[in-house]
Amino acid sequence: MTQQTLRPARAMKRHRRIRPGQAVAVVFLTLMAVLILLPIVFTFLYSFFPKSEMEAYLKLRGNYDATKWMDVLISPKVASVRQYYKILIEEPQYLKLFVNSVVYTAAILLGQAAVVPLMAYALSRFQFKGRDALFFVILMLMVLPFQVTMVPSVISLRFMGIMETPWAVILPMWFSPFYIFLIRQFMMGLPNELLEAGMMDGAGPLRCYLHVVIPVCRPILGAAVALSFADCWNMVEQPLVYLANRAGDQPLSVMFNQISIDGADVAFAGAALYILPALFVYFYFQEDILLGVTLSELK
Amino acid sequence: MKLKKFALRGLIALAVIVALCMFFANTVLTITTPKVQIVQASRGRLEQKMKLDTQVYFPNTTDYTLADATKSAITVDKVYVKPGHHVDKGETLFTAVLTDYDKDWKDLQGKYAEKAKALMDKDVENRRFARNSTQNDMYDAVLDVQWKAVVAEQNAHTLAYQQNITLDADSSKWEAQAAGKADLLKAVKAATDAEAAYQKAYDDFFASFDNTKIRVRNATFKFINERRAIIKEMNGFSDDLTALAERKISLSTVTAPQAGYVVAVNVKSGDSYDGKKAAFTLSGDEDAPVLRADVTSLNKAVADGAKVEVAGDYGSEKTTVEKTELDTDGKKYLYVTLTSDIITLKGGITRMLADGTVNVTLSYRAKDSTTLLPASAVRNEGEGKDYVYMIQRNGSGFLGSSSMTVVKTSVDVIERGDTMVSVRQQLDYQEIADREDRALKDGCTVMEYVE
Repeated sequence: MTQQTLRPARAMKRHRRIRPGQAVAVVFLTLMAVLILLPIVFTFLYSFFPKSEMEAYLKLRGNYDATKWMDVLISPKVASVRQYYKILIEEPQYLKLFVNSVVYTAAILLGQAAVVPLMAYALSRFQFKGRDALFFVILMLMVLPFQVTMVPSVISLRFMGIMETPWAVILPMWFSPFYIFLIRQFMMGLPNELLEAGMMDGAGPLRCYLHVVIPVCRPILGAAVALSFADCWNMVEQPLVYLANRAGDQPLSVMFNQISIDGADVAFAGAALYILPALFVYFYFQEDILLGVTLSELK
Repeated sequence: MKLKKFALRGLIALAVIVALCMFFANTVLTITTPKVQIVQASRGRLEQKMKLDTQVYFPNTTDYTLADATKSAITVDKVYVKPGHHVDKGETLFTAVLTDYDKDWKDLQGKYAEKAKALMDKDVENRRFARNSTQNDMYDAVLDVQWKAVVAEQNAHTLAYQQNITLDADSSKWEAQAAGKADLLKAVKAATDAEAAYQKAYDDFFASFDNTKIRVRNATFKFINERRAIIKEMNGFSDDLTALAERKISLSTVTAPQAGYVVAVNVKSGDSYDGKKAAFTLSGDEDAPVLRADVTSLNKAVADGAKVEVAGDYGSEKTTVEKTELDTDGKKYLYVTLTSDIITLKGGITRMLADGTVNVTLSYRAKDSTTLLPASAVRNEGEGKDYVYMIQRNGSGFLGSSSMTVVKTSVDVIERGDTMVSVRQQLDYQEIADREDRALKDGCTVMEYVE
């Protein structure tokens, strides 16, 4: 009986032929994946190397012998969690910066959650004067690099009196044009019948937004959260400019370069810990990212 | 969904780890990091309070031996003084009895009586002979000057020998040999004069045999000589009896020959004393006692005038160091002025001597100004090598964090005190690790004690 049930499957496998082009593509993509993942693997691997070995290895920086292949450390003489001990216990500054990053990211994401979908909703579902002009401005802001908007931003923040405060970093990020655009595009694709049905049941615009639009937009919102998290977690320019004189309030992303210079022996453990939150967030929203991007006509 | 759960769990685990680490980081760090006290090197003269054991010392003492006791041994009856007593001249030190006084007295008396009887018998036997004669006087005079000549000649020879001169057998050449040497010339002249006097007496004596006025018969001459010999012996016994009587008086009550402190009394009641060792020792009356400490092993130059404190049952008194000098026994001694207040505080010299040692506290102060470090901060790694752990503040380290590490630094110790150590290196205002709660290693991170 068992053999009978297996037979068709084997037969199916036998019939699946891998074409040469497909094999080449698999090999090529596997190699590419390995190449892309290699730095992450080394980061985690080297975070378990002892301080002395890492210091000796990192002394090679800037002194490479172009005629030889660089030595690659594969396994430590003695595996050690000393790097983690140092950054988690001995150097509490690292954790403080880590928490700074968490606080900034959480504050920005919460703000964005309140502002961005509402703006996207307004731009996608309501007809009002200047709507297209406003959307155009948002598109313009989206394509302008930070360096261009930096000076006006500083002037504005100073005028508001929040320069050199954490709000200078948090507040501008609430109005992120890319995510307004992304969600607006998704909402544009929602069928009118969906909202009309809600209104027929007596729901107003806000109730429709909360109980109809938001649940339907969950994939794109997940994608936006994941992408925005990466943005916030890795932001460098904004804290550098807006919190220039407040080193203690800056996020880990800004100070990470400093860690690599001053604490080369713990740089890999620091990097490993730094990667983890982004990695978990990506894993969490992985399906939403793919689905959201697919559904938002950005494909 | 599995991936979502994994991610959520991962995030939660990470958050928990971060929270726990933030909460316990300082606790763990405090537990695992050696803690030290940070002290600063100072500059100055090493001051140290040192405990010294001193003894009461009398600078000039005289040992008194009772020479008479060699002739008549005594038995000590009662001792009236103790070491530390101050006595005036003539004050009784102890009383004694002559051990064999009666026996000695009887012996001498018997000998005297025996000779007296012999003289009487000789006088009776030769009652017709004269008792004195000029010829016998001349005979005694020859013997007398002969001895004087021998002594004078020996003196001249001895003096000449000391001046690398050997006097000729012919004494007439001696003056020429002694020319230019006044003392030798004087001795030579005395010898030749004595020789001449002897020669004259000798000639006079033998000339008397030809002088009928002073010549006596041989029997008379012999009788007078024998008689004079017996009388001489009798006088000797008589003198011995007198001396014995005098010794009885002098030895029965031994008094202080001078004023001063009794340093030692070497006899006690019931002891037999034969005069072969000192019976007592007295200090010079003008010399005040001092406190003396053996500081041979003390590798410090204590300045004269250094402060000294003497503690007693009812407080303490201050005094100073008089001097420090090397004695003839090869030891270095420190002398401390002994004031009357200290003597009173310690219950008198007698008690101080009985106690043996007097504990004093010397305030030592080095002559030169050097770098001073707490003694506990200076460590020794054997073979005379000393080092300290200097604090290095690392302010620009990982993420600008500040930490302290210790750096092993060799130092040359000049002097050691109980609490401070003087070192040659200039370490002013440098921070030094001290009183660590566990063993330190060069380069290890440390924390400061939080009181």
